[in-house]
Amino acid sequence: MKSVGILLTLALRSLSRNKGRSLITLAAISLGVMSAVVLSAFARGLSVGMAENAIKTLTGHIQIHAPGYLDDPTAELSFQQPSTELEQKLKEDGVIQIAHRIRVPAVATSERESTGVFIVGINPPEEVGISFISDAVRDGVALENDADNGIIVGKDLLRVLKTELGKRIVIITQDVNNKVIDRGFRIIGVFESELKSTEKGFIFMGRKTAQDWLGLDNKISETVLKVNSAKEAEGAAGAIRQDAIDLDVRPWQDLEPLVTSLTRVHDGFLVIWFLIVIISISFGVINAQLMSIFERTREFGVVMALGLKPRQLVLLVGLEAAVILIVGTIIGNLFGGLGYAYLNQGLDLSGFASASEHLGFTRIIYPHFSLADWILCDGLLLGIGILGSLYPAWLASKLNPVAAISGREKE
Amino acid sequence: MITLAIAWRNLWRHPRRTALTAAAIALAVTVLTFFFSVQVKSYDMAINASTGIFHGHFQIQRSGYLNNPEMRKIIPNVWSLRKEIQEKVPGLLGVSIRAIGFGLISSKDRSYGSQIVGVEPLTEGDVSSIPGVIVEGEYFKTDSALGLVVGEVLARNLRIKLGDELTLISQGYDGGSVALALPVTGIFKSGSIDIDRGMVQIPLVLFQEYFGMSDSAHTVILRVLDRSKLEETQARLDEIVSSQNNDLVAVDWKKLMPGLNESIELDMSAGWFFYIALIAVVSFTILNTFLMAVLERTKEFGIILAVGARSSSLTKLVLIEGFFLTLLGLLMGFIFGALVVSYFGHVGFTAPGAEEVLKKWNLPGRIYPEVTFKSFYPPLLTVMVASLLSVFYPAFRAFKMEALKALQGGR
Repeated sequence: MKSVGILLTLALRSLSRNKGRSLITLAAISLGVMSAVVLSAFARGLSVGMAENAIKTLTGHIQIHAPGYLDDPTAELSFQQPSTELEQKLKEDGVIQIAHRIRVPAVATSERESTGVFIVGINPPEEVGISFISDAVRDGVALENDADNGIIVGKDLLRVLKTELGKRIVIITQDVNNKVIDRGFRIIGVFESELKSTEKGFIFMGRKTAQDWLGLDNKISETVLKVNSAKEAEGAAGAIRQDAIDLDVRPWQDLEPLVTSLTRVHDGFLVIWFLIVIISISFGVINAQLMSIFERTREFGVVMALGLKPRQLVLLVGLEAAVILIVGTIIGNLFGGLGYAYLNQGLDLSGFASASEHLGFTRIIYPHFSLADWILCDGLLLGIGILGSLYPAWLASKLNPVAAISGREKE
Repeated sequence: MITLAIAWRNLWRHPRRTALTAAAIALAVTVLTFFFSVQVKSYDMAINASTGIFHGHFQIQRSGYLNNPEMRKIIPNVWSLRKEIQEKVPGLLGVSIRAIGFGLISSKDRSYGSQIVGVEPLTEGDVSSIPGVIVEGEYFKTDSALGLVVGEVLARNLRIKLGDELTLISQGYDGGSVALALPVTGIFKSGSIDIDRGMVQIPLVLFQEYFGMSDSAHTVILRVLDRSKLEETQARLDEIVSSQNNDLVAVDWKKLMPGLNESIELDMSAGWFFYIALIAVVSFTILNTFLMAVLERTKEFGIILAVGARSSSLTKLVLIEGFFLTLLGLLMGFIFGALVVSYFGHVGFTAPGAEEVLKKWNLPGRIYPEVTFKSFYPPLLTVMVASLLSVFYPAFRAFKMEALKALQGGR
């Protein structure tokens, strides 16, 4: 072990002998690591932001529906509001909040225009902390209770329908017996949302009002559940399926296939990208090490003549590479962390509003810290970098002491 | 000439170092050309698919219709406008006329809001893929056909099959309500979820008759033969619409689908962040190689200077060495890149779990990248510029050398 100490001292000295070269190599490593850390945080931030926005909008962590509702979301496919008994069981499965909703497609008609929407019947207090609607009303008033007779519409829907706050619009939909029904509602509030498609697509009304109008009695279209964190949704959904056997239980990952797909694409892409950057870095490290051992051929000859074994020489050169890789990784992580902290207020993509609407991401992307990505990147770098440095180390160990002392690489 | 020969020979004094540095450049080029080719090709496919399904490359509309489509914003005398376009605009693949409304579509037991599009049966196929993707029944055979075709998802939601009757309820041109019942004669599957879920088509003359539009419509759709000639077509269309004097505009696909256009721009810019990071890492390796190549030859350069060479010729020598090395790396990278791209161009490139993301772009499951000038020159050029820039500092160091100091081995 003592020899490792001496070799480490030797390694540090030889690295500091050619400071310019070591610094440039360090810069390459740090820059590579930093860029990988920051860019991956933004890639993650994109999908995490999309997921958070979807969960906060209306998806929630887990949804329960009548079987078949997701393919055919109509009043006919509704179900009895879960009993207190079942709700108790849900809480044992990790659910911390529950909201029941009516959600059916409809056509909204003003005097001049009509468009397709979903009407969402809610009990306002239940939505607090589950969905965005509890604090999204910008004009007018929010729904008072589940029997409120007014409706809340999105700002963009006003534009589409060419109507305004306080006016009435007619909503046409189907009741529980599939009969087409229509009724006028007064717009009492206007909400804003991250995505225009949300503003255009949903009209909120009192749940009781909707149930009475649609002839649903106590039946509902969906139950939305909140668990401790988005990550727990899949596990909790599994447990809930055992308790609500005749219902369709879905975690948000199933309900937002685009987000799930994007996350998987990022998973694959980031690993490949880390590998590419790291292999490029390794080329630089190997190159620097190669130059360094050629310069020191004579020196190696001397230490070998003094009794340093080829094995130890491999260790020495390997150590040099390891030191520079470790230091570079630390600096890279440090700067990556700084860059992450600096950009933590988010990257404003309002300039790409149409793109964010098209792909469904939020207008400000916040970097998302992923420990797994960070470890993966650092681990791959150290692993591949040190493995790569075995090549110059192996070359050094093949030196013939006699030839090397006189400065020749070969005999 | 002699400088070229010397430079070339100098490179091979350290074959391993030169090979490694060239390999680092080559790796960057290979990676960049591959990713870039996949990007370019998928944008191309996305634009083709998205314009081809329904929107076309250009549409003539009333100004303001795009952002605020209203029944009242019509093109009067649309047939004569179409005739004029066909006579005056060369290079068109197809021209067709549409009228567009929104209404409630009801089957026996389901009702949904949907777009109702009046199409010209005989020319719609020239501007849209929908007539060619009928999965059941057939598309309209004549201008006066009595029937409607409906999107696959909407058909499923309405629980209908071929021959069933659907009722359309909507608002006519004069604001009065319109109702008509038609049998389903075809079901289409366009691949775009929004269109398959929310569109029915009826023959244009039927639309005009029921909606009270006489010989007017809402849009003239154009598809060009060669997308590189969009600007010329735009200019000609602008001429025609301004001579018409009734507030018409020619809108290109970028405005028709701003989401797609911006998404492409955003995706491209995001890609460059990754590419620049990789190029920067590689540049450090090149910088290191050449700095070493200059510094290790301090004595040699001193001699050359002492025998009367000017420092500018030393600079030239180093720059030429850098140029050769860059060229070598680029060439290797180009060959590997072309091989990789051709391979994936043959078998197709796909990422696991990407289906939903690709669907958002109207892309099929596999991308077949191609070796084209458009997809190869940006990465090649960027790497070349970065690589040459990294040689400047070492070349500058060579320029600053003084004969005496250099001879003594000092810097």
